[in-house]
Amino acid sequence: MMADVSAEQPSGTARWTFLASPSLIKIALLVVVAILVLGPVIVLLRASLAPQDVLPFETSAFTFANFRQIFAGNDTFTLLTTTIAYAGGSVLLGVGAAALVAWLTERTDMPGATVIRVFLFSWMAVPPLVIGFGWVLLINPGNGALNVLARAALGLTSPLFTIYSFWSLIIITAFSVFPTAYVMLGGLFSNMDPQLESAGHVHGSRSFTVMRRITLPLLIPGILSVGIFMVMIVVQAFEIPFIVGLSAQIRVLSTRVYLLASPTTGIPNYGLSSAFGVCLLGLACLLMWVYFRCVGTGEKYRVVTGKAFRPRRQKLGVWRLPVTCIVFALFGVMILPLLMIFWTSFTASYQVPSLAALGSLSFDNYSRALASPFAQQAIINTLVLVFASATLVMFLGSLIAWFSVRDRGLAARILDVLAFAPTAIPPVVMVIAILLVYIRTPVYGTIWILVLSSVTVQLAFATRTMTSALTQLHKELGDAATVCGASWWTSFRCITLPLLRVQFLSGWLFVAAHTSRDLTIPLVLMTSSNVVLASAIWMMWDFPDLPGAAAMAVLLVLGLLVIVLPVQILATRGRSGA
Amino acid sequence: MLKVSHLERTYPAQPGGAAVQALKSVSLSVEQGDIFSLLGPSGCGKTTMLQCIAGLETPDAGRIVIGGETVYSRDERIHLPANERGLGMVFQSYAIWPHMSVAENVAFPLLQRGRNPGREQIARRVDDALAMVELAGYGNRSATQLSGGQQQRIALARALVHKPRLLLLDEPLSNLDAKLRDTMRIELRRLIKSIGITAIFVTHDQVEAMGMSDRVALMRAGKVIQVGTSKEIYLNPHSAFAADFMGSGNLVACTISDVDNDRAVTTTPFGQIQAKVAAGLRAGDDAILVIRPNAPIIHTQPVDAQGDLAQIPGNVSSVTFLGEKIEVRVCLSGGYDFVVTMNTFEAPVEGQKVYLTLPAERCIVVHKDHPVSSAARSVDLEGLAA
Ligand SMILES: Nc1ncnc2c1ncn2[C@@H]1O[C@H](COP(=O)(O)OP(=O)(O)OP(=O)(O)O)[C@@H](O)[C@H]1O
Ligand SMILES: [Mg+2]
Repeated sequence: MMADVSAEQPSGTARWTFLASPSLIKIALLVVVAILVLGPVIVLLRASLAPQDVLPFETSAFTFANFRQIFAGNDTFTLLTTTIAYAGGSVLLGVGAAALVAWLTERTDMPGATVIRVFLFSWMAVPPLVIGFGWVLLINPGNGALNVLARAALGLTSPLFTIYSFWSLIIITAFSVFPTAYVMLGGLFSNMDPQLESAGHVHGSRSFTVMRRITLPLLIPGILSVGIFMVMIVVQAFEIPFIVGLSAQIRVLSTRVYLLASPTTGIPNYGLSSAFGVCLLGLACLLMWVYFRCVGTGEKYRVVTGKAFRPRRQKLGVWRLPVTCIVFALFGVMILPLLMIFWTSFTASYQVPSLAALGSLSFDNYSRALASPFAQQAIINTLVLVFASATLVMFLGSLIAWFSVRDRGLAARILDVLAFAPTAIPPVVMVIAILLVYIRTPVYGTIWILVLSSVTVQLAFATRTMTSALTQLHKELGDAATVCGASWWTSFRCITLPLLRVQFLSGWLFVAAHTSRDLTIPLVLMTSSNVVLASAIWMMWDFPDLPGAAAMAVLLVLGLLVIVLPVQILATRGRSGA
Repeated sequence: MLKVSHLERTYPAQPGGAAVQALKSVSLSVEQGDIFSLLGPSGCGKTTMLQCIAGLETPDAGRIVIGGETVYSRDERIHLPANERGLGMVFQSYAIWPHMSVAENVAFPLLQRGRNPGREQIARRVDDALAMVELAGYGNRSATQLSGGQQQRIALARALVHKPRLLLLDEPLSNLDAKLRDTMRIELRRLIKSIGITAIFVTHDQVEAMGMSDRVALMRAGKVIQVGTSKEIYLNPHSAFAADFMGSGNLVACTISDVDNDRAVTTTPFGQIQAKVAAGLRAGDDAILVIRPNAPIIHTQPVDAQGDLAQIPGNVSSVTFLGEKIEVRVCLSGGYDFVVTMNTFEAPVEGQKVYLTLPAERCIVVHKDHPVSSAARSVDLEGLAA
């Protein structure tokens, strides 16, 4: 039988297969990622050192004028303190509430835990843009629904609430921090080894003492690291400060960067905007550094282990009913802005919700919105944007993950770092930098520049997801294919990718949801031909066509829910089934 | 068939660790049709060696020749990628792809590198391969519905279906339970021999290595210590490590008082004993005397010690019943606990006085271990204490 062995030896391979060799792919990846990530950063730095009012390519002059201007006025100091107070305040509130609710749902016998979990996990389907508009409709001092109601009920003369205050901004942001922090903390609370607590009980401590002396100290580092992470996110956040904060004259770094680059009047000041962007980037990097100092770099790829502890659940006793009521009231407040948008989407012209107005509700806005070529174009653009960027970025992320897990050479490490870098780059800064890079190219003004930006912004997430998935995949599965004669590319396509399809898909859905709800990218790069749903809503709101904007917003939320809800229900069911 | 010379592999230091020298100038030569075992304790570099041969790991120096073709040479800058070496490999975890059916798994190698022998040809060869591992008719099953033993056989079918020139097996039996392991070992050897393929077999279990292979390379800390048939290594180990790893034994520290050809007279705490001597030992050397537990002939009465027979008196301190044999601990004059195995039907009683007769050809003096690792020392000490 050995005689025919030589006949079986592979003959010459097809000539193009060298294109699929891992080292070539690695180099190609490096180039692509460097262009995506480093390109904008370099141009941003260059622009910050260029004279104002010119594009960085069009000048050879270097000047520190922008930075001098920033550090000269005490305007900057106010801006910085406002930003920090804003981020700190909303994170304190949001993470505090999230920790409390996470403890209630994971470690006590509070009813409705599953509903709360699905609700909060699905909240990512709700664009911050829509929430911002909802709150404006609810509590603006003139005709905000709550204010009108309060006036009628209490006979007040001045408005009870106002959206145009620092506190409103903080509370609204806290509501958006809350679900994300809950998602991060939930795993922490449910995965805590209950034996540590049992040990306390065995030694005769009372429940409250155990909580104070054992549970809390164990959880503090986790809560703290989530807190720092959220500060990083809020400092980078743009949409809520933009929608809520601007009318109130509350400026934070991210909105300042945007307004300088896209002023409502006058010409863009790219130089100063870039210089502020560099400052914001510095702040974000500093926070990132603090974050990693606190949690250790190991945390970067931390995966929530499937280890199913059955934690001891605290009995709430007499507190059960009041606590449940308070928590559900909180969710009621969270939903209010959505309900307000929903209401508005059925009105012919905006009016405060009342029984009297009920008769005049109709679907007119929806049919009007769906009939207009503008909206149709926006929907098509959104679909293209979502499908293209989610697919591209997950694919890129998978490739990078493969090299950073399996190759581990110098090039692979550089790739890994480059792919992780966008985490520290605030999206608004990144997008303005991308604008500067591509403004003179034909890509600018098409939907593809949005795709490119989304890919860059989501690259870190995609890489992280696929990296943690790949580390759990036995290396021998891929090796087996290689020894069987498969080329690197075949092995990746036929073995690695199919085996990671679940993680790929859930990553894809996450990216899709976040891309379609995002306003930052479409707004900064907006031209008449690349309007997507988010920017269309913004334009209609600004026009102002509140009912039309509301109808589009409802459509967007519904579309997102269709994607997000089934996944979350399945995931929750799988979790409780395990 | 396979020639490996002066192979080196050092894993670069990971953050927070030191570099690991996994292979230190390893040379080997495997004949066509042999089953060759790489045997050694955990972490000695067996898997690294196998992966270098397969091409999954790139060595730092040396040369690998498979069937006359140089697949790796540092000096000639040759490195044939793993997928072009035409080998078959069975992995420790079997690496059966869970998203494919059994038939798809087995057919995979037939479809690589631009080959496509056609639908019928593939079906026929997959069926042949499955029949060969006695899993005919399992083709449509999902790969996840198989037992451990079946998965292992699928892995074997997949490794053999494209008729590779060399079969590599990385601890293929270690994931099976003890009973199945014994039957699979015999089965595996029969199958490999019937095909006539050359196989490299990695294991850390000396019983497995002895049962499977024609020749064994004993490895330790990245080096090949000794190569030979398992019988050679068992009977004539060169070092205390080899003696201890290939089977249990009493390892006694001794001094060589005289060497004559292949015989030596050694001085031990319980008297002078004649033994075979490993190459390179001279009179005056400190060495280790290896006495397998089944080597001593036990008498209850003193007999005439003549020629090269040594006779040592002792007291039975314990008797352990192990089924097919019994393990007897004999306390010798120097306070030594000496382990002897005996026929179940000849069990002595505790406290009984016995005489151990040691023929010279059943004892061997070997080199003390180089102070490579303190682990080996503690093994020696355990041997002494036993
Ligand atoms: N990828 C790697 N990076 C760094 N060190 C490694 C790597 N793979 C193996 N090593 C180290 O190289 C040495 C040899 O490893 P190898 O896997 O070859 O051992 P082995 O003999 O197969 O052991 P086992 O019987 O446990 O499988 C070990 O010390 C191991 O820690
Ligand atoms: Mg191994």
